[in-house]
Amino acid sequence: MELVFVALPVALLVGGAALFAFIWAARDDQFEDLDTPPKRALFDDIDVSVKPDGQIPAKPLD
Amino acid sequence: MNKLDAHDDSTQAIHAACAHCGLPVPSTEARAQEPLQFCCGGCRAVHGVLHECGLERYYEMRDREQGIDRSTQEPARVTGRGFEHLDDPRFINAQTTVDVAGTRRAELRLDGLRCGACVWLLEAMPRIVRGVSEVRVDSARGIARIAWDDRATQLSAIARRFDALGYQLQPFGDPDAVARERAANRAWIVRIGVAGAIASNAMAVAFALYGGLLADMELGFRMFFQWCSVALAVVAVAWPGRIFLSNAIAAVRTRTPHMDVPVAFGLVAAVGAGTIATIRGTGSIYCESAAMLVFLLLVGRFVQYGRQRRAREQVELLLAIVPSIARKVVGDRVVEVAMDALVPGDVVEVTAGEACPADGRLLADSAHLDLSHLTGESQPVRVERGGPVYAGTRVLETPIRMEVSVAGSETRAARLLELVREASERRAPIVELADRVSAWFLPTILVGAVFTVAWWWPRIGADAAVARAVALLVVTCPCALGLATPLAVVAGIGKGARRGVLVKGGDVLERASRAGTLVLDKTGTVTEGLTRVARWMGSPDALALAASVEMHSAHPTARALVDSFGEAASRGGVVASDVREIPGLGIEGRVGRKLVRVGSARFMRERGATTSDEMHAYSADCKVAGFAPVFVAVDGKVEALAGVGDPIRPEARRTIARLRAAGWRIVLASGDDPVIASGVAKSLGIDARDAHGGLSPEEKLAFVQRDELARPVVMVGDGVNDLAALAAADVGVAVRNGAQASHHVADVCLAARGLRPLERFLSGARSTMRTIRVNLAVSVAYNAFGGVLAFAGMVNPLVAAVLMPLSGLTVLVIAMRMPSFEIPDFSEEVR
Repeated sequence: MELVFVALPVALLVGGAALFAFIWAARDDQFEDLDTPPKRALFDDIDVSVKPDGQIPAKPLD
Repeated sequence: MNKLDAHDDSTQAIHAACAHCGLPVPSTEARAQEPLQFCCGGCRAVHGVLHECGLERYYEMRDREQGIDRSTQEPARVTGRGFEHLDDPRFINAQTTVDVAGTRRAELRLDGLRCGACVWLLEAMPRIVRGVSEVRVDSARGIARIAWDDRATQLSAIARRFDALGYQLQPFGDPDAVARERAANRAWIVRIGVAGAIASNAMAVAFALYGGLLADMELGFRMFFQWCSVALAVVAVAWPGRIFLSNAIAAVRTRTPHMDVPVAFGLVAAVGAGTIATIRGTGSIYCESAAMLVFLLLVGRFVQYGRQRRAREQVELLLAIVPSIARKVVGDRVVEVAMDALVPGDVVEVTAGEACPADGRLLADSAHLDLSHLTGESQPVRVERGGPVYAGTRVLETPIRMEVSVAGSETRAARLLELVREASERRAPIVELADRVSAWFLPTILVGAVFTVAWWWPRIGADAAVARAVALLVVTCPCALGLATPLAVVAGIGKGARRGVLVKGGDVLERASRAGTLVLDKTGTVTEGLTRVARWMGSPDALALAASVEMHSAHPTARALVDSFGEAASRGGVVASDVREIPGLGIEGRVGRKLVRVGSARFMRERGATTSDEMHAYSADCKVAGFAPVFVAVDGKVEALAGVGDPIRPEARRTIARLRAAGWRIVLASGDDPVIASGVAKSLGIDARDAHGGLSPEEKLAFVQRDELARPVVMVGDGVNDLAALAAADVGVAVRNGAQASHHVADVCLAARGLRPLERFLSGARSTMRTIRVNLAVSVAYNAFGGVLAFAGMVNPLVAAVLMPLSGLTVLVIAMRMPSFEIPDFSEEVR
């Protein structure tokens, strides 16, 4: 049972490390926009370089 | 007597949907030979660009968007502006950054976003515009982050490309405010995360202690767990919980009651008693309750903060639609510059429909100006060459040039804004209901604790009596009380926002919850805000002739006649000739062989046209109803009469009757002509003594500050002329498409014009306050129950740990389930 005297502080330290990771993420504005990233995940399987009819689009505009 | 339905039929849709936005295509835009139909030029242009760039996948993307709401669809808006102000070196230096590789980055407000497909389209820009390396869109806030190569392209070129697709970029008015808001949000997230982590760890430790209560735990272990618990609670109160302590100290210092005073007291009592008990090695501790309380209360405050931020940002988005750009004439070129870069002596061009950027002199021969934003005058004013032009007035019909005499903070509009600032500073803050409750809450608990000690000391001894008093202090610590208001406000603001009512704060709902005086602006609120033919009598053929003459005039009365009868006129195929406009009187011209005169009664008299008695009577009727009578004489005889004005909204009368029944005194305060104002008031069933017309902005301000008006004074308005009054009223309500400053000043912004959104807001304020009252009652009941248990000695740390979140949960469920912002159905209304 004396293990508790070590295990509990260690658990708190691990928790503290996770907390610091969270604080870093918050300061990095990772929680600023929660709406757009889930939409963006759906974009990847639509390829801009091919038109719906299979043609290759014109070159970029200036 | 004929009466014309005010809706003209030129916008009637044929059976086609716009190939871009999906809205019905009006008959005027339909082109029978083409395979694709568009509702407007904007949609046509955007579709063209998408096709040219191979981005038709946009439509595929959009159709994949789940749960897309057809009602939010709107046609693409392409302004065709130059956006040169984005290349202004001052803007580039202040709001963009450049890295060593020459990539410049900027953050800009983005208007025109509708769904996820828009995000996809804009983020695909680097593939179709040379020089752009990255576009990131924040769709919730309407922000675009753009990275581009300085040497390959300019920001204005990128902005024009965005514009061609129907999205407008605009610099932030106050980038520091955006940064501050973001920092505040970050601080909140950190606070919540830390509080949550500590609360969950404290609960884990507490479970070991609860176990120890049941099975005898060795003293060494118990002390160890207690020290851990105390340490966690101290961190929770000192770091994320510091906000409660500092709020409480500020409230005590200013002697204003505040919810955070009992909260801070409870936190300090729980942690203090726990620390003493642990040092002495006796008694129970309630530290995990304190840590949990910090977390729950912070969550409540955070969601309230998030909702209010969202409401503020949606208001910002409404503002982004109005350009803050002036078109300055330099030599024979026109360049776009920021409004505040203008200096006296500059010559600026103002296109039709735009607002003048500064005060100055007119350089064109004459112009019709719409002063309604500045003075509330609904009839346009004609200004001759050299005449005064004021910032904020809208130019009608033809583009003009003006010479700037006063710009920036010295314009008449800016001086009005200064008045606004003074008025809003004078407004007395209200003490919220929860704070009033908390003012007697804390003394009651303290008396209860002292009574507990006094009662039990002779019976069970000092230590046990103090333990019961401590349990009482902790268990009554106002968790539910602290959550009651934020949760109800969050639910209220959220429900309002979904229905187009943007409320900037909880105190606004509280102020508007009792019936007082409702001060209405006439234009756009009770009326439709457009000059139209509201009623007419006589020969329709004469009116068609009148319309063909009026086609040559820019006067709003002329436009109203053309809107209603222009189609009949063009069917006849006759074109007016020899048209002569007589300012202030009317217009005359020849159509075929007939001499047609259109104008006022005086004009008819001066030209010797005969008018029947019936016509005279009808003309008097029109005036009483608030419409200007316009006579049409054909070959010297008055054949028809039209009442032209701003028609009252169909639902206004009944809505006003309902509001009066709810106890509101309705007052009409208009900058418009007093005769028209009292006419409108009469047809709405408003007392003649409560109809005020011809009020200047200063008089409006003085009006809402009158002492004899029943409080709260709710002021509804949308012009610059209403600003000071909006700020000074207890609750200022602005309407979308009004002057942009009105959105800043007002406490509430309605996304639609008219009285129904207003009624919705008032009903929402009332029901939100009811929810707050129920919540406060429930939490007081919980605390009384907990207090009695503690007095009886039946509270241990486990009971406290269960009771507290349970009370918070009850309050949450009540807040979310209560109906709010509901008003009688519109379809019942019109029947």
